[in-house]
Amino acid sequence: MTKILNPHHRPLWVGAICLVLLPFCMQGIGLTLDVATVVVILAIAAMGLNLLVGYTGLVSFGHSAWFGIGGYAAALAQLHWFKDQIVLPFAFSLLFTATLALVVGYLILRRRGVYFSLLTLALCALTFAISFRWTSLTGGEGGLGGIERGSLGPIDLNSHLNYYILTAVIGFAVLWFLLRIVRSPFGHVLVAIRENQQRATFQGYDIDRYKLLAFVLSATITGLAGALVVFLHRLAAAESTTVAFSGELLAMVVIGGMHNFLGPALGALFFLLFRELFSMYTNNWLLYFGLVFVGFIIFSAQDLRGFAAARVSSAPTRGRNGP
Amino acid sequence: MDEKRSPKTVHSPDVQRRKWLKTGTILAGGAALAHPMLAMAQTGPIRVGHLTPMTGFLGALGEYAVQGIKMAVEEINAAGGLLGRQVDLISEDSVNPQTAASKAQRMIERDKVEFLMGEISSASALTIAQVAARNKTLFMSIGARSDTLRGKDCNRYTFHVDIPVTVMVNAAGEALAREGYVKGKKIYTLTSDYVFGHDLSKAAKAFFARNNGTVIGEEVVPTDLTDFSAQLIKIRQARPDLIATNLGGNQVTNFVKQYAEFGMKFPVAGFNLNTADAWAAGEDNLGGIWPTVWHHEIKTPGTQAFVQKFTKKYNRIPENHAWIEYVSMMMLAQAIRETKSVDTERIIKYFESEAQFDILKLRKGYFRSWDHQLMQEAYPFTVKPKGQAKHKLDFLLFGEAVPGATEPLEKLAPPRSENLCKM
Amino acid sequence: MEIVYLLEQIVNGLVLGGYYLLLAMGLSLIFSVGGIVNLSHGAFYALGAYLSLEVIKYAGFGASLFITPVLVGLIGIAFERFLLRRFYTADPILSLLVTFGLAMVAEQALRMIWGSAPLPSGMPPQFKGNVMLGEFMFSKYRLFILAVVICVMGGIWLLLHKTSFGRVVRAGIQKPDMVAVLGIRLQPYMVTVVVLGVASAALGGVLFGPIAIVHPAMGTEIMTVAFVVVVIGGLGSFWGVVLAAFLVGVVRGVTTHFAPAASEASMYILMFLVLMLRPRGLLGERIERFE
Repeated sequence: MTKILNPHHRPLWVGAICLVLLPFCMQGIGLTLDVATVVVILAIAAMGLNLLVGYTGLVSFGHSAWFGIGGYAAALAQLHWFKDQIVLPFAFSLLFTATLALVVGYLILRRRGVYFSLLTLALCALTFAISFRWTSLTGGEGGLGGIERGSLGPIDLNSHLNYYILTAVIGFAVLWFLLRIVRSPFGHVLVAIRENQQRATFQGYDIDRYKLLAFVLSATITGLAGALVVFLHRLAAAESTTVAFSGELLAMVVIGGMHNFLGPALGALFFLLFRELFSMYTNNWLLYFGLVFVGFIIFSAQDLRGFAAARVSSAPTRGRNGP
Repeated sequence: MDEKRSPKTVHSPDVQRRKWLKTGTILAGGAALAHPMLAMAQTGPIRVGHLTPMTGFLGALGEYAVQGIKMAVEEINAAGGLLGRQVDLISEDSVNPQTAASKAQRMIERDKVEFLMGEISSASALTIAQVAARNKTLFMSIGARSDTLRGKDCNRYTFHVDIPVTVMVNAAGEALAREGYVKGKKIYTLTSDYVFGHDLSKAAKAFFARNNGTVIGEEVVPTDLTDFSAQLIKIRQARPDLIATNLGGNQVTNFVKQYAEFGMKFPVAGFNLNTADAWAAGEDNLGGIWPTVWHHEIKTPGTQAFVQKFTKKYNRIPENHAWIEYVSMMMLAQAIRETKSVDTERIIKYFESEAQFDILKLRKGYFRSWDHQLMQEAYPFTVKPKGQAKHKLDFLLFGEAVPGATEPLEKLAPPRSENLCKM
Repeated sequence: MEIVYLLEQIVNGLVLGGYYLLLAMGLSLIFSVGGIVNLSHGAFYALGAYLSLEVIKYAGFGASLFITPVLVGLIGIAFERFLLRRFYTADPILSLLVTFGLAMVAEQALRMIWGSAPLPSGMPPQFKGNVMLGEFMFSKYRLFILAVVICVMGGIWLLLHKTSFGRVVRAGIQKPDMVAVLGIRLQPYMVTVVVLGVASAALGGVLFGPIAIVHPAMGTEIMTVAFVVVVIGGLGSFWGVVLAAFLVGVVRGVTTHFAPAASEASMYILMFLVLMLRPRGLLGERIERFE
């Protein structure tokens, strides 16, 4: 009993409790169950991004490309091959995103720092251009509609609650998976790469392989979130691949805290609450959100550890058990 | 992170940040509770959800649309509301098809609207229609004109107010053919790359084929293309007798302005041009023949009264999107009053009974029962000869209504043989 | 298809390139001298277009060509002083993030002030019409834009290569450490560089407003092109940016002719290729910090 309760598993407990309470809290303040589902989806996407940004130190400005690609892959799989199913399209989406990320990552990870970030930005813009213009494949501006959720065995996924439960279960699985990764030797090497890439190389690690794997995992997790949102809205659209959305994902990670395991999830919640609540009062909620984002960077710049190149790495403030 | 073990009591910046976020989130949640809209009452006002694009290339039209429908709601409420209840209009920017769908869903679930209305973009109208059908809510698709919306994508919960693409092509096309621009001529077309543009293009090509015109080239342009110089060069190379545009929103304005900038001399006409976009193009830039669903110079007391009211309230002349939103709200109001209910099924039946509505034109309009399309007149228009305009916006010359007074209203609309709608 | 029309597309592409150059040059200067990747550069372009519409109401187009860049330049001073200055010695990624956020804020601010619907913008009537040079047809206005761009670029070149100010700036791009050792502080120079950069972006907005649509998202749209040009041309090289701007303009123009749907994508593919094969760009310097 004590083994389950020990603080080693704290993030899992926090995550599980939040997933259970979230729908009640959302409906309590007058938002819908679907909004709760979107929070979980964005949290998954942000945590996927953070594996790359917070843990490996590679800032991707184009992660919405993976969000969109995961979504389109699932939608196309259902529309062309697996009519009315949900499991197989998801599986295809994961496979496709991972493979594509492997190829793309191999190409662009050869560059570092600002160049890498610019490459991800270009990639995102390219993905948007393709999804917006290649109408015969992606439905162009109108997107791909007519997606059906079907059912998982006896459970009908058309119910809002059932779909939320599915998303929450997948979210928890992602949480568990990421926690294992981050605490594993692999995860520690990623942090080493973030802090000082040269030194990690001197210690004999093949950093290219580590970075590539981190990239693929990160892209696939965000792609999974993209597939979930497509089945939620029953529509795959180019809006998911915009550079603006990439920026919002990054904002969630930065504001929520990129050196904290659950930080991005909190950032996603914050973003969504901000959007849903502020948009009732003003059409300019994104302005205020942007101001918060800019403020965070200006005033907590020294907190973004690993990025202030001149700063000496300070002693860890966390316990032995990791983040 | 285990605070109990650490002897330090100073919190690390990350903890502090989390505290801020938690407090902020709780405050935000508390503020939401206080918001009256969320404290739902089941009786009370009739809530109508309204979505229209206010950004992007249809944005200027959306502004007129919102003004039109707001004026209608104010009139209704001032006269005592409907069935003793006030009308509460929740109007938002639909932005793009994906956002339109999620906002429509949210309006139904959270804001508990009885009806959905609006839209100008055919792509967004489609996604909203799908949401409406799934939730068994009535959706009046007001300004979206694509044929497929009333064709293979139709559903019984959606009613279409604006004239479809086929009617627009036929309305302008008849006038074009009469003036001799079509028979035996070489025609170059420009098409906006989205569902409405493609529909226009299909109908236009069919029309030209029927009337012995030859389409010698087609340019498909992205909806956010602002610079037409490359296309203009290609057009010059082709030397057509007529340039026919199948462009949407302010793309027409942009094209016409740049066309004037280059000073080319081929005649330009098109199958879609809203009055707002015509005004934006300006007197010196515009020429050719275009269709419209309504204009402010129609000589009926209804139209003139509407124009006066609108001009007084908003300090500008109404254009067709303002008018069509206004009459749509009035039609819904009539349906509610006649059926004495806000029940979607009863309203659908009322509309399908082909009840007549005063849409401020010479003839009354009615919804065709099998495709839910409003039957009404349309008008071709062109530009006045130079020097005749009395003021900056007065340079448009409107033609007679089509179909003619003795012809059936359905004459220009797609017949059952061409329309794939099955409900 | 006659060659003359293809050549016209190429020349039209050159004109487009000239206009990209106005934006890319400022972006490149700020990037090379200050180490800041200014993702909010497009916001100054949009601001230029919007402000110009207001200025034209009172002073006309000609005056707006001078007044608007000056106004935006003043805003640039505040921008440099209160925002950019904190990030010169920080990791370049931070400047990416903060200017990205600023771009978001700026677009929303424009929407709040001027509304989200596109604003009508007219061209002064004396510029309308075309000019025939033999078989080639050019729009008078675009030739005018090209002329303005050449003048401005000429001025910047003179500034960079014929003045002591320019000498220090160029040294600062190539060897910032040496400049520091020589006892010269680069920071005061940055103010001028930033002001020049945002003012030329604003000028781009003024010039292109009459033929494009003025709407809040116009800044972000143009940023991607400007970026592509800067990256392809390479940092620290005046002629690199010039070359890249015209190259991108021509590539876009020619692709629009043959496959319009792919013209936007062609630009990114070009940038992708360049970043992969030669990250410092066609003529750029190697800047360690960015790798």
